[in-house]
Amino acid sequence: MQDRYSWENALFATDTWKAAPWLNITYGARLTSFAILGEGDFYELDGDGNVTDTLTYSKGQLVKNYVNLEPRLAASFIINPSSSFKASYVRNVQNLHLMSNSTTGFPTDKWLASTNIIKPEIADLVALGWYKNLAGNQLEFSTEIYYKKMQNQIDYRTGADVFTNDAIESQILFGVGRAYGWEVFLKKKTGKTTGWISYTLAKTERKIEGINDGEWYNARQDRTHDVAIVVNHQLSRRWNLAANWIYYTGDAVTYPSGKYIIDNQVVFYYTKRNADRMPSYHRLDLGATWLLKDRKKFRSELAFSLFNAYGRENPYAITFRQSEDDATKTEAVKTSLFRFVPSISYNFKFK
Amino acid sequence: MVISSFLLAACERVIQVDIKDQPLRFVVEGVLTDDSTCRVRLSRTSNFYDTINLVGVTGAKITIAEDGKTPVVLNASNNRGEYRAAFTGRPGRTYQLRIEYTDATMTHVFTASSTMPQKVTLDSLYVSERVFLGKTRMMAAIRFKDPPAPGNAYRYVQRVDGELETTVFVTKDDLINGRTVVDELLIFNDDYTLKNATS
Repeated sequence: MQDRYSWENALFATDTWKAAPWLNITYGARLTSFAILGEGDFYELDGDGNVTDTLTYSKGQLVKNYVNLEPRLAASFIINPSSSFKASYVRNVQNLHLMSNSTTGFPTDKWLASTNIIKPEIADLVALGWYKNLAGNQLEFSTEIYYKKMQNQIDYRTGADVFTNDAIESQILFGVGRAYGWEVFLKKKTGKTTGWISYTLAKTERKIEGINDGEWYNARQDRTHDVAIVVNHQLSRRWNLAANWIYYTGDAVTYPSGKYIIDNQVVFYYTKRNADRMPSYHRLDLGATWLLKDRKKFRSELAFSLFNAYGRENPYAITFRQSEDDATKTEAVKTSLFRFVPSISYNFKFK
Repeated sequence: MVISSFLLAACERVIQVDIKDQPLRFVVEGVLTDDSTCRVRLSRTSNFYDTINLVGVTGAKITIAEDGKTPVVLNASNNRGEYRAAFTGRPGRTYQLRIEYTDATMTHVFTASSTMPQKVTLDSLYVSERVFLGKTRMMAAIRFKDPPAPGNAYRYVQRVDGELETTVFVTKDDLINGRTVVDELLIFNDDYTLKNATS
């Protein structure tokens, strides 16, 4: 791929207005200018993504300048000393675009800068949240809902050639996106045992003409459930124990729907984009820290940890191939990394 | 100061994935050349966990016609869905393929049209060496001049020591139109090491 050059400038202003003893309003805006510069080849495309013209720019020559305003507004209502309600709106403009492959193979994420054809992604996010301190400020609870509307989303065309094509724009389709969800969070801040629990229920989708008959479909990053539990316990003056467990729904991916033979080779065929799921990911990590010495000038400790304590084989990739043992079969192969990673570290800190 | 020890391991395992069976679809592979090959293979897709087997479709009526002239019938040459005719293509002419097949429920008709492009001759064909990921690799290289008219596409089929190498090499002329280009056939497949290549 070609190197791309750009120059980004931004102006930002924000202010907080205490409208009433119970109401804080924060408002602001960010003005961004994203200038795409040469040198390089830029393209013009027809409706089918065929290159109709190649424009060659010299070093430092301006190709295109995108100017965008990102307004933001947040209101915080103080209900009583232990609880508040917040509402916010923010627009975000993004000039770097993540292109994810939708297959289950080894991740080939690419970051692309905006070009004359790839327009800045614009996201409008609205969020509502309720925050409450419980049990005499020992516990902190919050819950939020959000909805995000996205413009200028990109995804690969069906059958895109991602490796050899210099005009990457010719392999991309454009559309809209949406993401919405509910988050809940509980944290214990004081005492011998501290920690937090969080849960998110979410949906992230795209709608692009030319993919899945122009209907809403899952973005690769769509994560239905996301759970995290973190616990820390001070057992004694010398021993501190920690554990965390995370769980999330696997990426939305595309499995082959079947296969056929052409030119005497087995080829997989695919139907709906991102209609399948990688297996869910979960893992428990354990840790224990043993305080060796705590002196005026230094502190030393020995930390033991066990990553992936129950040895879950979380898939890194799933590949589909003709079986090595039986050439008349096709099979799915899961590659996983890092089962049980124990580690010991000696920490020494000067005070 | 941190001193750590790690044990790392990657593992590969065949797993059972849930793939919903899809309605089977037809697969048409048609080959027409200017040296008297005219062949169509009609087959069907199979499900992911089915045994690999070419599911040929027999009993179809297949014709080919040059520029709207009287169609020529392709006859079944075996019972594996292969049909042939004594027919030769000519560069610059347009050919219409028509397939009619009646199964238990309905009659399926597939049509396609394609123009045979003008021949592009190779300027040269040679073996070049490249250092790739720290290893010196040999590759077949092809030098040719793309014709001035846009819309040409190329495919290379490579044999290594007489054995078909499975990489699919295809390219379009939309970035090279009318220019002299060199294409190098880099193989990512470790099963083949290129020593003497013929293309």
